[in-house]
Amino acid sequence: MPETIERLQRQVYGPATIVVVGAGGEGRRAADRERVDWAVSIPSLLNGLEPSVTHLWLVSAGALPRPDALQALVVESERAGAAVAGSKLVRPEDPERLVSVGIATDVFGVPYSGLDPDEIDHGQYDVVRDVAASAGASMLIRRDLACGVGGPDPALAPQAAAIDLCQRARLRGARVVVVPSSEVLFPERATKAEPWREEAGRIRGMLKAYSLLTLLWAIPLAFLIGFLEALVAPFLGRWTLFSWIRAWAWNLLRLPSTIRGRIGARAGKAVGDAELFRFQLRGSAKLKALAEEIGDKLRARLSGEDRLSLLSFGRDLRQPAFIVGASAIVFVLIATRAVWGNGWPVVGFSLPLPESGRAAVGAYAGGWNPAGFGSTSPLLPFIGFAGLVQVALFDSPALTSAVLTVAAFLSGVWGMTRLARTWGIEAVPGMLAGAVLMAGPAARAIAAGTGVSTLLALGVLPWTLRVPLARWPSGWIARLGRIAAAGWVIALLAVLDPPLIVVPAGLLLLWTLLNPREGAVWRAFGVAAAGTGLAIPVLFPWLAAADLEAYLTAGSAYWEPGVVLPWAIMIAVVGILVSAPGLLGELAVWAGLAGVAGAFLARSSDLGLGREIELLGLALVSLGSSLVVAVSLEAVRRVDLVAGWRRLVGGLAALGALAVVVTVALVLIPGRAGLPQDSLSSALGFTAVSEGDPGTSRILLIGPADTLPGTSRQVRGADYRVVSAPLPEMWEARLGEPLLGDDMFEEALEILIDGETRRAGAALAPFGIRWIIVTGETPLEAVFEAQFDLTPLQGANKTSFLVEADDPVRVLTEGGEAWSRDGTGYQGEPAPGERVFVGESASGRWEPGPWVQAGWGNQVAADAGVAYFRPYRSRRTQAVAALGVFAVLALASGWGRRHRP
Amino acid sequence: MKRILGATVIAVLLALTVVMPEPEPPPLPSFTGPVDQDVTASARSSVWYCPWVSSGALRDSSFLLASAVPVDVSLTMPSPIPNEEPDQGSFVMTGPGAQVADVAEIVRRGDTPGFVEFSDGPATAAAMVSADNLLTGDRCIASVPKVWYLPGGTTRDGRTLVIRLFNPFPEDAKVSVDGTSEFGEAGLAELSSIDVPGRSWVDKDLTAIVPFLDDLALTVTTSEGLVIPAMALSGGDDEGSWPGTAPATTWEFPVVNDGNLVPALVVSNPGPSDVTVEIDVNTTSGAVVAAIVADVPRGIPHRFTLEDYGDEPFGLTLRATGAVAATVVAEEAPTVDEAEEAGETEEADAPAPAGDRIAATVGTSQAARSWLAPGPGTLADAETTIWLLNSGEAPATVTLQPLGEGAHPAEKMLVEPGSVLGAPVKYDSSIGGYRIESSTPISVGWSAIAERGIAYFSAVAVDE
Repeated sequence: MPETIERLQRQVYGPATIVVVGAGGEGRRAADRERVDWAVSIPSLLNGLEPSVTHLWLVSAGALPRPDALQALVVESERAGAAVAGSKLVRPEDPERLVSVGIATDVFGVPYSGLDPDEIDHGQYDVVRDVAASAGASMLIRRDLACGVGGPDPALAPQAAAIDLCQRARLRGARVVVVPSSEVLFPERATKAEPWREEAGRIRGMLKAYSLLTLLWAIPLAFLIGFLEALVAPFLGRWTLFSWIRAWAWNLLRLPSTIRGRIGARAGKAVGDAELFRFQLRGSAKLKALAEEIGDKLRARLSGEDRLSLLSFGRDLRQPAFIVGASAIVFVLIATRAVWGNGWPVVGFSLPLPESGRAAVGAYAGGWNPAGFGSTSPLLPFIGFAGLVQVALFDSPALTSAVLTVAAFLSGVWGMTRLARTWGIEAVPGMLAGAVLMAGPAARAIAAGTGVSTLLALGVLPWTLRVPLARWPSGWIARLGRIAAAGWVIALLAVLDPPLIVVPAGLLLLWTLLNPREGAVWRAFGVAAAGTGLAIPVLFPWLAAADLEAYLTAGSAYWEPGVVLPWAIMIAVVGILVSAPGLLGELAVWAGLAGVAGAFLARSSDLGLGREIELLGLALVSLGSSLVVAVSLEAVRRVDLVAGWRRLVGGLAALGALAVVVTVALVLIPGRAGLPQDSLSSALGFTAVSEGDPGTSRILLIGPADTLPGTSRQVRGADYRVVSAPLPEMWEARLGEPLLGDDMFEEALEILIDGETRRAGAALAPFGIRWIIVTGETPLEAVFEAQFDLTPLQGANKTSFLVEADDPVRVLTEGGEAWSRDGTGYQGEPAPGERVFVGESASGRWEPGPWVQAGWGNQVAADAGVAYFRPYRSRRTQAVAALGVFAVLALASGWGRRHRP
Repeated sequence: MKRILGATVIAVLLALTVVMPEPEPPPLPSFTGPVDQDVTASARSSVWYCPWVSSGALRDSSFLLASAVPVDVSLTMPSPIPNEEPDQGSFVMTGPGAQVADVAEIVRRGDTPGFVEFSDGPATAAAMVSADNLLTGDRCIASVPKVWYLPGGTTRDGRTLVIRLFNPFPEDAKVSVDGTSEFGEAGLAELSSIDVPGRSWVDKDLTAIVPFLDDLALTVTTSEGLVIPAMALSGGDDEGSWPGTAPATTWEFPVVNDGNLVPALVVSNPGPSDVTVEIDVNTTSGAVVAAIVADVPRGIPHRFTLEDYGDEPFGLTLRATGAVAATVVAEEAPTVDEAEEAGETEEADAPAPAGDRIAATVGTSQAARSWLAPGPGTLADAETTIWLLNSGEAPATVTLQPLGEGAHPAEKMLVEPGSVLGAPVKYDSSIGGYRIESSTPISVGWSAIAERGIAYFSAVAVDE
């Protein structure tokens, strides 16, 4: 402050008076020390000024104007007829470096200086010109205008306040110019406050200045752009989510004062929003900066920096990293396009996510398993994870499945590229390996088997190897962060597909056996092992409550890979084993072992192993085959190392690898990420438009097991499945242990099979069954034909029957009102004094009490209009702890990354 | 070295992977469809379909019910108006017991085919239709196959033959009716594809379609849905009605000629080749074994007229080398005047028959030790007789236990091997039917002879 005042006093164009404004007691004391006046605010200053004062020169404390700064401002502003004029700011420590020469903004008020970092002042901006805003460090404003706009908004941060003041000035028809001949030394960091304060100020500025019509689209867009930045920023090493939340919350709290400010700002309005737009950038400055940052990061991480040479693929395999990266993105977008709008196809274990992400998280964390007639069997961690993501994505199931799929594919391709680079494999082979990882034969087998979560896990798998294998940082914080990174990445892998937790440490142990003398390899194994240990707690409460033996042995593991593709991969493996030099050869052995071990596991039904082990095996095959592809294609481009007959053999290996790569087209063409076509939506979709609330009822599906969603039950060898109407959701995919409701339902089916009644509708309605749909050939179809109270439905996609009995609903009050589903609970009209039957397998944890078992189901009080399952407190605690562990690992990883030298 | 070792391990693992056996296919379901209800009455809930029922201005009908245990009974008669709710009645029947449910107490609108549901068993039902000059009926049907056989029809001059296709289920049925006559294929082109809407019925007048046939045997085949057919033969006033059956290699007819009717046994051979049938005539004094031996060619119904076997009551036992369908159709004997003209001077002990009376019955394909016979003794104006046929080689000690309100004493009788015995039953308003127990397997039927008409009924065996 003293220096600033001294510089003001030494101005060539002497100010009439110098007043310290604001800063409370500290400002007053500073004014007293310097023997200048003090005013509490600009408006109070204006009231006390002499009439002869025509302009106010606002100078920030700490600014050091040159002696002619004010003169230049006055002369040029009068010449230009501008009511606001700002100075050029330069660095105090290096006045050759520019800080600000006027500010442009986008429509959301985000500033854009147009200056390069550390740009040197050669006078290239030395022309008086109109700008959107000038820096608040030195601003000359005409007194009458200052009276009208009331000075800077004291609630705003410095940069936002300057932009806001200029916008309000321009709204009144004033010109805002920058006068480069007026130089002020001012540190760059002092031009802005904390990011959230500046963001909050920009929002408030928009709310004050823009018309309602502009606000209708600008505010939602600003919200979305901020949210998008919050999503992407962590990948760029920043964390903006809390700032974003804080900025909007601040504005919500200050809305009354903002409205008052708006009234004042628009009271003397002389121009429309079009005038404000005149000096604004098109689009979003924030998004542009984000895109630039991403591009920089990609370029930094992808090898192949030779941007000038573009050689033919067959000869040299070197591509500019940008094109390769773009190709990867295009590949992912094409391969997953069908998932964007509609989510995952409804077939097998691929089912829509629940309507409520919060309910999914609650169900995972000790809640009710809603599959079939319900159970207390724990849901898979994937349900909890997807639920959390869904909560963050506007609770949209379709958006969540699309984001997860696209993110997994991008992550998988990128991850393989980074993993391949660990051994010096270039971008193109790495990228193609990534395509094979996510869309190659094994990945397609996973997708064909509707192993959605395993498919997503493939996207994480290469990172679980890359992180431990990356160069060991110096510094204990960075090293701890590396271990934490391994922990959370392996935890994420395990959450998506629990059996895969053994893969990173297992594969790296194998790598150490192939390289026993390499200390770095042993260290990588140690990091992976430590990461696996840290990841295990994240699998709770599922890990503690699940019947692991049943989980691992359900179904049968038997993959039939066909003939052509295994030969192609074998040719590639043998070829590179024979021809590849040094490290590439060892990689080939490692990849081959991983792949064949995976194939063995994928065909291990004879050992009693089930579907989950088949998926584990396929994931290993996918990883192994993608590494084989990477090594084969890299070997062929190492012209200096592979020559003579080896080159021929290597060429054959590359051909084998390319044969595998070409098959990814089988995923590209349908665009469903390899998942099969939707078979259940058309069969069950008609229930959604049935009379009443279809969600109050269930559907009985009968047919071969491979036509039914998820797992199924059997009655005398015939498969069947009870699902929620109108469509089953992902949390219903796996049936839990059969409970009383399942047993009673099987008995009812047996009575029908035995022909003891021709009133199947009356027998099934108490279980909430309203429709029976035949998905394939089954003897149960004949059982349901010729029943007195089942009406065949004409025009349905599959043979279907409608139950004609009374109240085929899941939950019914004594007064005959059906309640609809609310997550895994139910809700309806409160019925004081009445009881409600809840058609879920009997469990004493159904509330509100008093609880009574009613046959196979539950009866609870209907007073409150809700029925819910009281979650297991221990499981809930474990789930919270698991989330906490994951968060700690992620934060520790970020912290360690920051401290990497 | 590493590569060689690695390649070796890869090769070994690969070999192991390739030879891993395929998993066993999952076991097939242990059933191919619902267990069809047996023709007998068994100890479980059951549904009995009664297609030939009519209650309106001219006719009255009743469901004849009998049960060995207490049961809930539900009667359902679909409405002929589409989408209208069926007419229903329900009550609890104490058991062992029997009662008559008058259709008119539920609905009166003419034709009212329906079905009876019992909550437990053994229980069974029969249906009876009566009018001023009409009495007909037979047991109802429990088993509902896709193919039915109905021999015994005729469209000769003076006779009207109607087939009813009753579909009590919601699903529409597609049915084809084929016929064979004494001339071979009967050419029922317009019956080759009949749509029977759900919860309704279709009647077809065969006399109008294929007139002047002495014998017409029908085969009803359902390609979609299910129907229960019934045939009705009328001669102006009285009519005989009988349900469809499945073919069998043995048939027993305890009642054949009661009421001075001239019986005929009509046999239809739906099989792929000709069959040989042996027919025993079981008189009250014993059996004339193999009284008739004949070849029944495939596809052509064969009528065995039985008027030569005397005026005494007799039953029939049929044995065939292949599965056949068989029906007894008994038509009115000549009048007294006609008999006098012919020189016959027999006196008729029974009430003089009035009109052109017909009775028919499908008999039973198996003998049994226990039977339920709903209906005997419930007609005040008719002479009712329970007929017991013992086709075995040992005498049968038979107990006739009345079922109804209150306790009633049972009656025991001995049926000699190979013979038929008629047990007259008096009318008693508190009795609704009978339970018949025998020391050896027998077959049971009953007849009702009234001035208005004659009807033959088959009883229903109880599954032991």
